[in-house]
Amino acid sequence: MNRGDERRGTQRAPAIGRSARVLELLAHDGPVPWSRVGPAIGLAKSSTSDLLTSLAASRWVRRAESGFMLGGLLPELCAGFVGTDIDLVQFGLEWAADPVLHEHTVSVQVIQGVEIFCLEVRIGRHVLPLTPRPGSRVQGWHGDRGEPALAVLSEPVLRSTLNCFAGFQGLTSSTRESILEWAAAERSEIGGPQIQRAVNGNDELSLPCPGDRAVLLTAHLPPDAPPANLPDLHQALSTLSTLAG
Amino acid sequence: MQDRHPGTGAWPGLRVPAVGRAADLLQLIADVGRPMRIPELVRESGLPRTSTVSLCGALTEERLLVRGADGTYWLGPRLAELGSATRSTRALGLIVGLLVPNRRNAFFGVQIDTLAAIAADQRAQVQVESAEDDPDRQRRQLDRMLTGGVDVILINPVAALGFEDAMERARAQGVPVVAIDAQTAGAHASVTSDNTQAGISAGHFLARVLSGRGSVAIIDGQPITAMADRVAGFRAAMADYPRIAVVGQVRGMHDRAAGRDSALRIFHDQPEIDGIFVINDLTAYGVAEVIIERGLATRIVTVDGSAKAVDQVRAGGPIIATAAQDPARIAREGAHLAAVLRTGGRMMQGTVLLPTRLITTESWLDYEPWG
Repeated sequence: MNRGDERRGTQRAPAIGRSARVLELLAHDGPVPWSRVGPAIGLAKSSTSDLLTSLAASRWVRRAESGFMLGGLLPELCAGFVGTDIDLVQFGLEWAADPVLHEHTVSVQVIQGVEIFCLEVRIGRHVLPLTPRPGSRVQGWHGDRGEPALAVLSEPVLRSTLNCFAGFQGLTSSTRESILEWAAAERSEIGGPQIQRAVNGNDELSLPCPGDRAVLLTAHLPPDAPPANLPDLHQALSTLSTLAG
Repeated sequence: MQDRHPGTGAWPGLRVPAVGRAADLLQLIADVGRPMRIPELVRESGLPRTSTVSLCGALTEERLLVRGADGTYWLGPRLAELGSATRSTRALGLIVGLLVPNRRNAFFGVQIDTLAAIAADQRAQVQVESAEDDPDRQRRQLDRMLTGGVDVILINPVAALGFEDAMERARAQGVPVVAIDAQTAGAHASVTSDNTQAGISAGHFLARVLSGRGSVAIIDGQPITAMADRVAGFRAAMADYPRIAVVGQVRGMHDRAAGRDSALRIFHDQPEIDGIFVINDLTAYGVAEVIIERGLATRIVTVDGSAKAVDQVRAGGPIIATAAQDPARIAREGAHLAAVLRTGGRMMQGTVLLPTRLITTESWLDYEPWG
């Protein structure tokens, strides 16, 4: 495989870059009428029409009365991160309806090997050192210790994701075993659910979601704030993980 | 779901093949659920190798894919960003269904216009159906809206019962249904005027004008909670005046012609009526016509607060008071509730009651009537 060919990807497939501009526009401004799209991305009318028609045909976008909006393909692709274990729309609805959780920032995080990947977040009323964002990634392993989120997973689930992403992230077998040993020790030491400090400065309480994917629900709390009612928060997260699945 | 041929990006309507092929590749990786190498992508997608390499490179540049240390490709972070934005912008571009009893009554026209203005502001669509006061028709309209994929429904119901099955279907589909102006069984929430208060205030005012004595009649309306509450409120007020006799109650049907018919029936049985409580202004117009034609001194108190009723109040009768509703505010509150329910929010209570204001010769000056 020629790396040069990849690096010139958008030159050989310029439609991808243009499509990405359209998606970005709709993400910020949607719905956007057809007449605004061309000027916004620097395309002539006929090219804009072809592109939008194609994006709509393949469900990247959809047509509404008021213009084009992001389409159903994107949420479906996001399901690839979590499988069928969690419904991200239902997560948002249940978070909003929960009297305990809707005050707090709660995220759906996927452990991809040693990477903690934020897939969806609902923002609460507390100011955090770092507000998680969909698409944000945190390195979960620091050579001799890991982020608390890694230790929340069961051993089989953690092993599975480490193996799945071993080649992708260049994880040797000894590194994977070190991580598993560290996580086992952490679980043994911590015992039950605890609020722990993450590398980004937030305090976090994480629960694994049911199923065999490495998916967590995490409540992000401001550090040194008055302690949240841990049993209530844990119960609410536990209920949410079941309802959103 | 549109038909497509897996691996060729041949989505019907596709003019830019790369767009469909990119969708196919990403969907393939999402379905498999792990990073994939180029040879595997080529084999599973059926795309030429050069196209696959170019597309993977382009998608990686746009962060829709990520390339791993071993040359495999996995879903990129931008998918999460855009996926989240898709879920967020679902609130915009909503399709709102509005079911009204009829289009004759300017009250409902104000609600239609209010909702249209809100929709324009929110970049939503409004679909309006008029039931022509027919419960069966309104039931069918509700069913059609649920089948047709509306996101929220506001219903001004023509009956208090009979929509329960449709309400259950709406719940199952996640479509909030908010009843406005009157309650109907099974609706997820309701916004109405405080119709009982309207009847009470109208009744006490009529009693005051009659100096606490005389005979009155009631013209009620469709069997919906709003009308029943108004009549109940009026009767509750009358109970405080033992020298006022409620001598008759007839059914009206919410238009001027029905008001005339009802008035004629009342005056046939009771030629010397001092006052009539009519459940809404539109019906009251017809009653007033009969009173004027016959040169009678009968006074009317009613509910709605429309411009024509206020004109009569200003002129001294036959309508001497109307308990004003705010149809625009009811529609706005209903739309707000529907939006809250759609996003999974909770309401403090299932029914929101909006106070009415009695418009009389003493209070019409600072009132801006609708219609």
